[in-house]
Amino acid sequence: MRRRDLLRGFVAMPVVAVARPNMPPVKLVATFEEVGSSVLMTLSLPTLFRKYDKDALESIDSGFDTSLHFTLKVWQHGKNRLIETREVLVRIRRDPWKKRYVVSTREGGEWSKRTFTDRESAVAAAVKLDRVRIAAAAALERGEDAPDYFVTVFAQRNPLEPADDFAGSTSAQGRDLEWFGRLVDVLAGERALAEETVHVRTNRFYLVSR
Amino acid sequence: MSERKNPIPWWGRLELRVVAALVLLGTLCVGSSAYLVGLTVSYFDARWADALDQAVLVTDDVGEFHGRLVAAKIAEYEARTRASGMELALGDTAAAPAEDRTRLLDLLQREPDLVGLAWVRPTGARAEVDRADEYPEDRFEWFEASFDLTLPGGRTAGQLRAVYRIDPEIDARFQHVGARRREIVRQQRDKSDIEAAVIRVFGLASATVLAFALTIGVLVARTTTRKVSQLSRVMARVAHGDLRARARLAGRDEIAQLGAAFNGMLDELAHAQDRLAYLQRIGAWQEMARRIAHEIKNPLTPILLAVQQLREKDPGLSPEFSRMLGSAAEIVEDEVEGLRRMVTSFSQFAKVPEVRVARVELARILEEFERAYGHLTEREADVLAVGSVDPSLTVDADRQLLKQVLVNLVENAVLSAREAGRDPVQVEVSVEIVEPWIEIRVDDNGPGVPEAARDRVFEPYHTTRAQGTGLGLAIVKKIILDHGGEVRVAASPLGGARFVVLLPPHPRSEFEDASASVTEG
Repeated sequence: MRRRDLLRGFVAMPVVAVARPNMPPVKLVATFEEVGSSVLMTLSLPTLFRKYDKDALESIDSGFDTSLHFTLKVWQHGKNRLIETREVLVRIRRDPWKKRYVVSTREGGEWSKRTFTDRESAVAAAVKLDRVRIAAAAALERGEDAPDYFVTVFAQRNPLEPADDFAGSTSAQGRDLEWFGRLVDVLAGERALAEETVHVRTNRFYLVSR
Repeated sequence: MSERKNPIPWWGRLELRVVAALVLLGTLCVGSSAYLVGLTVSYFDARWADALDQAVLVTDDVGEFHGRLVAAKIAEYEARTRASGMELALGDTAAAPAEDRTRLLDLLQREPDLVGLAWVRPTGARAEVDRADEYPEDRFEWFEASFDLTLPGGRTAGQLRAVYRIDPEIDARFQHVGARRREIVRQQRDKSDIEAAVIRVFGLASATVLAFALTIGVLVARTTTRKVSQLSRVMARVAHGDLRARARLAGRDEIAQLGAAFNGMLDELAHAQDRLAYLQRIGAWQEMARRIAHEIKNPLTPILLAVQQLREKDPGLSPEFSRMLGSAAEIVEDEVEGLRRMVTSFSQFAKVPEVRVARVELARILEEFERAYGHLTEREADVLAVGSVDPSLTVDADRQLLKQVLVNLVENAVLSAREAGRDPVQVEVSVEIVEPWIEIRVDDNGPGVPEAARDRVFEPYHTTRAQGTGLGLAIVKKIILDHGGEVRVAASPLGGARFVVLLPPHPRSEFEDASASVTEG
């Protein structure tokens, strides 16, 4: 073995040891429809609340809010060009006053509320993006020669606010600690962002000619 | 000379060993640090886990108390509804239902958290009051309670429905606790991930430090071992007889100093070899000169006596014969005289006395030389200038031989200048201290010595003068070499040659003192 090969292997060792890529998005089938001037999408993400995730389900029954944060990005297929980004926020909780489950949804800046008598129905409603507006139809090309589009959804259950435990320190050690904390968060991966994360890429869709 | 092939394999070289030692040392340091960090993390991890468990228990207690609070508030709302209903039923006059709204309004004003009241009589008559505009449902949570109004005797007066505004502070504080609980649970759940991430960060930092140390180590080791290798190669060349090999080591470290010392030693060795070779050549020439002088000198006297006898025995019978005889005798006597002078030179060259050094003031030697040879030539215009010198400047030298050196050099300068037609002839003798030597310089305005001939000018019997024997400068060099010094020739500012005699200063302390005094003076 040549010395140079030995040196290369030695230099590459820490990189290989630390590398921990996030999981690629899962492919799921969504339905798309054009209603008026909007393109709507319906997609269910049941893995956000797994049936055996006892802690998550009990957390709902405890009365505490469980929030679901959906980030929807519309991409042009082939070029990976970002067309539009939208945010949907869902809260699910048990109302101890009225003994029912409440699912609140904020889409486009407005809140809407639905109530359910049983938890399963409330959870199913919460994890389902039901006819959510993903883009204005005018923002997408239509026709046979028009490109296809797809949507990526990054869903987080109880996303965490960025930790600033170490921020604001003026000492040299404090600044080092801040960088250390950030590096740890990065290396901890997506699990550090929320209780549960789901990354989905939908099937392609296109707009027909009018 | 062909380069000797290095038989050491790459894994056995000093450079790799030094690097391996650095890596091992670095790994040991980083490993020890990692172990200590692991201990520290484990210690605080146990404390942290315990605190998190306690915090979760606290939030569980808060949840339980919140449930009890909600139940108590519900019971309170129901009790207040019942009390309000009893109050309405007791004061009820079925004959005046128009007053129902007034009585409800009175109740609403007394209860600040009441959003609305509705009284539905059995007849279907309905009276309602509310302040929903103050507590809109989209901003406040409402709780509705109802009570059937039953009068004594079993008569029913209808149903009272009351809507209360739930204190938003209760829910806000509870959700705040919920957010904290989620964070705590996440910390518990992600503990292993965070620990793994910390270990990776530490590993990355350690690897970076190791890589940095390795790079620096390789550079330092390579710099050092390359010097050693180069020195080793030069030593090998010297061992094979190549005395011109020199180590070229940059830097000011010990190895560079070793290389410089080694180069100095080689310079000394080469100089000593040159000196020895020259002295051997001179010795051979001296032996030859001694024999020639001996062989020639012996018959000269009988020849001269025989010629004198022939001249004395001339009967004078023939003037022509007498004239021819006198002329021939004169020629023979001249040639014999020439041979005698040559023999004298040979003898002087062959009998250069052994150097007997003693401490002597250089000023004294120059003074004696000037006094004896100050006239230089018979022409008044010719100039011999002897520079002043510090009286305390001493050398370990043979005073007579050193004067002989000056005489030979000055004579050589005068004769060269005269042959070249210089008028007047100028010769200057001066002394300079140029560490580590004391330089005696003899400058002239003669024709000088061409650069190509400067190496050979001190060889015996080599001369550029028509009347020279080529022995004077050879004698000079031999005497100076016997003193441990050197002699060189260069161009003079006067236009001719400059002969420089370099003498080692002795003793050192006095040299330094003299050097200081010359600089000052």
